[in-house]
Amino acid sequence: MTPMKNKKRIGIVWTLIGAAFLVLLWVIVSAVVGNRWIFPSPIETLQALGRLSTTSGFYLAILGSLLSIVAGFLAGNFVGFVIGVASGLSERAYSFVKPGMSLIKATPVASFIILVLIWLGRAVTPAVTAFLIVLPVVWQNVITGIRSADKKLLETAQVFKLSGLKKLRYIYLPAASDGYVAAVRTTMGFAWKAGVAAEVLSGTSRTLGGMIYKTKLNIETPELFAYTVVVVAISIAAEFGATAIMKAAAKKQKRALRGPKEGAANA
Amino acid sequence: MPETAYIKANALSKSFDGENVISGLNFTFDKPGIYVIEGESGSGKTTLLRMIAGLTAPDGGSIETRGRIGVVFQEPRLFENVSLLENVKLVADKNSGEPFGTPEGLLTAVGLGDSLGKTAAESSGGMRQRTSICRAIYFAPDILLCDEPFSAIDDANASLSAALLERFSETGILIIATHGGKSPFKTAKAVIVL
Repeated sequence: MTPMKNKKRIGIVWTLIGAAFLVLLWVIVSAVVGNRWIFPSPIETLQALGRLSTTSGFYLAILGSLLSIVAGFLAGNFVGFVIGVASGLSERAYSFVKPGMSLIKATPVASFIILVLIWLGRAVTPAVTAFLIVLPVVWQNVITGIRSADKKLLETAQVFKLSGLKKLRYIYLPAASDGYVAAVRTTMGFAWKAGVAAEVLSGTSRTLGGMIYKTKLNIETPELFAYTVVVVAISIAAEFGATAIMKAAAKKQKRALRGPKEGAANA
Repeated sequence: MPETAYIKANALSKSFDGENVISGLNFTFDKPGIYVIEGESGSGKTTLLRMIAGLTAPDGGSIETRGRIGVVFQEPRLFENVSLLENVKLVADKNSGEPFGTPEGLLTAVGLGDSLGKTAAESSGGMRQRTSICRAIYFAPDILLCDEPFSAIDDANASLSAALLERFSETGILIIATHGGKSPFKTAKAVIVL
């Protein structure tokens, strides 16, 4: 086994030990508390999860949350990337957009949720919240990537009079994509958690947040824990999924940039 | 090459941190051929080429050029995730003159016919440098500035690259900056020693 593989294996083992430690801690605390309505054990949570998984409402809630939060996440990515590229290339565009982004970043998530709820209604609140969480991070990371574009390549582009479109494709977009990938990883989990929080606060129906709110009203703590486990599991899966998609996209972009394979030709 | 392509330097000067690198240099290159700029490392060869290309402003005097200028930088400066072929192709635009050859033909002429689809990132330093020579020629320049173009290329491939550059010099102004030593070129119209 190579040192790199060995290091990775050791990392995985310790991650598993860390996760097992958390479960053990959960078992101990629930045993000490001794009240399933305040702090259910992992077994009681799994039992609640088992009960929920036999109902169609459970799956509809997952689907409902995924659809609205992913829609907001994707919209935030698209708008953040486009505005980020424009702001990275133009100081005027950056100065124009900056106050708005600063405002979004500085405003507490809870304030956003309430305001969006008042202005736009409960149906779109989770999506808009996810959008607002993602937008400034993607915007900032794309700008940082564009500003770190290789100066020597830019000079080369100047010498060979490359068009703006070619500079964008061959220099700026590859530079921006590095920052963008980092932003996707960072914001995926944030967007999901903020989106579920928005569902809780806005009391949406047929969403995970809506179900969490319902369990709170009925004091169904094992169900609350079960839904929380689902939210965490989807968050982790989404982060892995986003990373895998970004890697595949980067590979595809690399292949596209490589150009068509052609055989040798005459001099 | 258009009749009007030329480079005229008049009392050209440049200094860095108070130290004169180039001082009162005068020359005119206005005919096709090979022109050599010779000097030790740090003698100002790259600075002179950059001033000709308009990338560095002189401190004194003037430099005047007419014609399209292509550059082979000391480091190849290719687009890493792009094939060698695409690296050459992408400098062509609607303003390009009559191309010196096809991108495939140019790369084959310098011994890269079998590596057209390789990315720059997958290629050796010598392959990258040869590609940058092809790119600069394919740009269809009237004036071609080469900063130590053979520094990373082995002798056999340097001869192929030199033959291509010599072919270019039959119709264009070719300026080669070198730190001396064995030159693959047999003749030069003028040599500037810095």
